[in-house]
Amino acid sequence: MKKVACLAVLLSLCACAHLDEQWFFVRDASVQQLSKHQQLSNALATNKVRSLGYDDKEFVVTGHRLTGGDDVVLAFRSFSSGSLIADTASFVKLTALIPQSRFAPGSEIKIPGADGAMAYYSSSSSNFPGAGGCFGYASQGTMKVDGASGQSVTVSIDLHFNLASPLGYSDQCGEKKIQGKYIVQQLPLRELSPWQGTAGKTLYEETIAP
Amino acid sequence: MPRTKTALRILVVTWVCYSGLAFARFIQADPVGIVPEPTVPLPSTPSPVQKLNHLYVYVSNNPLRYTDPFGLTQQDIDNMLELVNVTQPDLNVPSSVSTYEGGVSGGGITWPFPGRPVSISDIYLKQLSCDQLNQLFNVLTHESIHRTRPFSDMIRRPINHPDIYEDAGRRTREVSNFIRNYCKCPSS
Repeated sequence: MKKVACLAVLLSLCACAHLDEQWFFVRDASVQQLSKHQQLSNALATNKVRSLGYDDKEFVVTGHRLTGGDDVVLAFRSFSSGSLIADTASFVKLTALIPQSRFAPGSEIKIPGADGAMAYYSSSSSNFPGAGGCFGYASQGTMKVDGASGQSVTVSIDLHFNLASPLGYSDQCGEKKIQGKYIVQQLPLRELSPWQGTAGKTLYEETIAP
Repeated sequence: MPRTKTALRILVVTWVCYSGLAFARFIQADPVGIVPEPTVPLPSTPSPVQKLNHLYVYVSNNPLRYTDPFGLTQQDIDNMLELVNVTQPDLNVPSSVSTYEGGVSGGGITWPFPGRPVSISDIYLKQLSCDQLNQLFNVLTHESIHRTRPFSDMIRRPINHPDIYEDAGRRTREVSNFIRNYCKCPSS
């Protein structure tokens, strides 16, 4: 038994974490709880709300679920497995909603002001979703489609977020910038996994990359 | 939930919460184990106050990082641990937990050492709202479930164990209204 314990400790101290990152976009899509996103975004922008509360903290996960719709969803999913010790995995998710007509090479989508474009960001422990981490909406910035090639597009992103803590830790979150140029693959909605944006059998299928 | 069980939970939560708020913190070790009278009548079982009386501990022994002028933050951890202990008698609840720095995730770890000690995020050393107390209860329950399961279970599937998350969530939901109603925790 001691040997097993020592081996576990040794393994956990190794750099065993792996990072799994993916950008993709989905046409004819939307987010599942669009009206909730709109209400929450307004409430955060006006400081009427600064947390999700214990009963709703899992919106840091469920807020990234996709459904069929009239827009393009641009998404980023990042999973870090942490060490081999239990409960140290974490995720970052970004889900941006862009009007389909604006998602074309040369087009620049501004936030705020682009016909309802929205970008929702959250980070959290995968094992305790919403217990810590941050969430929020882009308050300003741009997403520009630089070019398209086959099933992929190149996008330049410069988004500024004002993030809040799901359970209201006032000093945990704040300003966040996401900037960069990315090659983004198109995925069909029906082929998305729970990790990418469909409802899982358990919430943890959505917080832990397969 | 049977009425007697509900009544017992109300009594237990009231007892643990009020005793925590009433007893604050000691500036030196209590040499004879004298404790103040609780503000609510206690059942005739052994007092949890003696377990709550963690002599000398101040903001998890990290005074450079935290202050605890009202003696309530480490006390929150101790009280919720006691609440798990009392309300979840089928679990192997640790007698104490340590905290680790930089734990903004709000999670916890059951270490694969003999005795399976538990560390939780130092986020819980802050003064906690009702929502945050509920999450603290959830994390402590989660780690206690780990300790209750065979050692091999933790090693075999360290990253994803949804049954444990869901079990801890269910147990927390059963107690969460009591925490909101009977602990004097501030709203978020």
